Amino acid sequence: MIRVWLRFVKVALLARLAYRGDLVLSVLSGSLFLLVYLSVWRALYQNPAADRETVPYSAMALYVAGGTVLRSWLSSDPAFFIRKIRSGDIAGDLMKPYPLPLALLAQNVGNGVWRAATGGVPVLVFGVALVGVPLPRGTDVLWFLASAVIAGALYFCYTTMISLTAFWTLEMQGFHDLQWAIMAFASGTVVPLWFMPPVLAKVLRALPFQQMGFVPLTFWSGQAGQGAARLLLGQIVWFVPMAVLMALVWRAAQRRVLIQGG
Amino acid sequence: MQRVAAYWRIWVMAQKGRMEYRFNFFMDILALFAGYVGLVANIWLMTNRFGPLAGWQFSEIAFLFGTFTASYGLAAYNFWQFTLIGGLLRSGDFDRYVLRPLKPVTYYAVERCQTPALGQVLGGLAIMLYCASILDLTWTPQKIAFVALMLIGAAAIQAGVMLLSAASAFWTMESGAAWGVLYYPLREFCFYPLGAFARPIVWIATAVIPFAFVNYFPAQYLLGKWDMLGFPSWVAFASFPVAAVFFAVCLWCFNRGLGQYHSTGT
Repeated sequence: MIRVWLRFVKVALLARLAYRGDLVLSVLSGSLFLLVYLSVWRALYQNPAADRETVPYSAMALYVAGGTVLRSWLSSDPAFFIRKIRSGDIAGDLMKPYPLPLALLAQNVGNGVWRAATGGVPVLVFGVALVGVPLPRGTDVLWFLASAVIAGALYFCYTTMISLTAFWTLEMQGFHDLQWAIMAFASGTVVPLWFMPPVLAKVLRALPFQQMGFVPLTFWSGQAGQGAARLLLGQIVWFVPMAVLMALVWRAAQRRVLIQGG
Repeated sequence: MQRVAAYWRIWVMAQKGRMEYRFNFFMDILALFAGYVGLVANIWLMTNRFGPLAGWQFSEIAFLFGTFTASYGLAAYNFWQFTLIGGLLRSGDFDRYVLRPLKPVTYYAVERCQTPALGQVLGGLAIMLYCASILDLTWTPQKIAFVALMLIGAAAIQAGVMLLSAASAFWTMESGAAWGVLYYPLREFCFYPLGAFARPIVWIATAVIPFAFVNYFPAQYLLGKWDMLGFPSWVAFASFPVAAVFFAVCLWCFNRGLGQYHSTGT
């Protein structure tokens, strides 16, 4: 099973290699995002009334740069199921001897590794070399990698549930945009939970979204401190209900199958 | 005149088709709305904790954001589909827009109009009005006329960028990949006051892709700010001519591409 799965990952990677032009574009795009947020935070920190105590600017610069790596790794394919439903391929796919979400997972891992390696890391190099982003400490990077893997698993469960709604709505774009909007705000990737009003931070800490943004980036920016192990454990604990929920939605979806044609 | 009637009929049919999928229609609008609320919330969180950004307080930044969003919606309503043209070129579906006795640009713009973009127009206008009321701006007839011209100019600049992306597709035959990848980071520069960015970025946003004329320069006349970053203050009133020239150049590029287009044969 693992061997088959790894082959799926490899195919996803090779498919990516075919579009080398995209590579230049994605590095350019990531660098622009990095530049926007770095400039904005720098300007904010220059404010005389700014809050410099919670986290120093250097940690915030790390946080922003780590965000570009994390974003490139967390990949999804919102149209995965709707494509198969529309084309009718879903009928054949359901007969194959492996669960369809596993194929999606392999595809996402392949894409994520590729995007992190070709989009995330070069952007980071750009940030360090040209716009004064500091380098994270070695141990922080190790914590981050572990945390990012779990974040990837959570993100997979979350986005797959969303794309499975296509079995009911026979459409995707709206739900996809909505999940993207929720992530953009509630994951804390743009504004970390440190800077949110206490009540809001409390609410967001109780939700799974920050586990896919704020938590891994806390490691990367060296702010986990003594609580590192507990933070990581918190992520793992969230994985259980998310995975169960996804499995339930997948089972319900299989019963809903409707073949649109071919 | 007959042509206008034809476009009108195509437009009505497109609207009717769009409304067939009512659930999706409202879902799309809700999602767009949530996305923009999230973006504004992030700006609020930043300024709430750190104070003004480059001398701009929250309601002023949100006004810039509202202006950008409303004009984006106006442009997207008829032009967003141009960013997807690569796919149509490869599949050969674009041929039908070339073969009808109508102008391909206008025909495609009308027939594939993006109804959910109206949500962005309304949302953007609502944010602008809300900020204006917080900032105690008094509305005079001149200012209302100015807003109308500003939004039309801003929409023309954004539509120009969409046409430019489509023009590049005639040569690369790529789908909209380049569009999303480059446009989304670029537009982020318009969500914040330009003074927060380094000089080269300010120059690019003024002289290359004139995003500064979408909101930053013209909005200052309404807000009474005059934070022109070393540019003369009349640039606040230059949006309309700048947009006209930029849009004309982009349209010319698109038509050049169309002129050398030959179907892929699929």
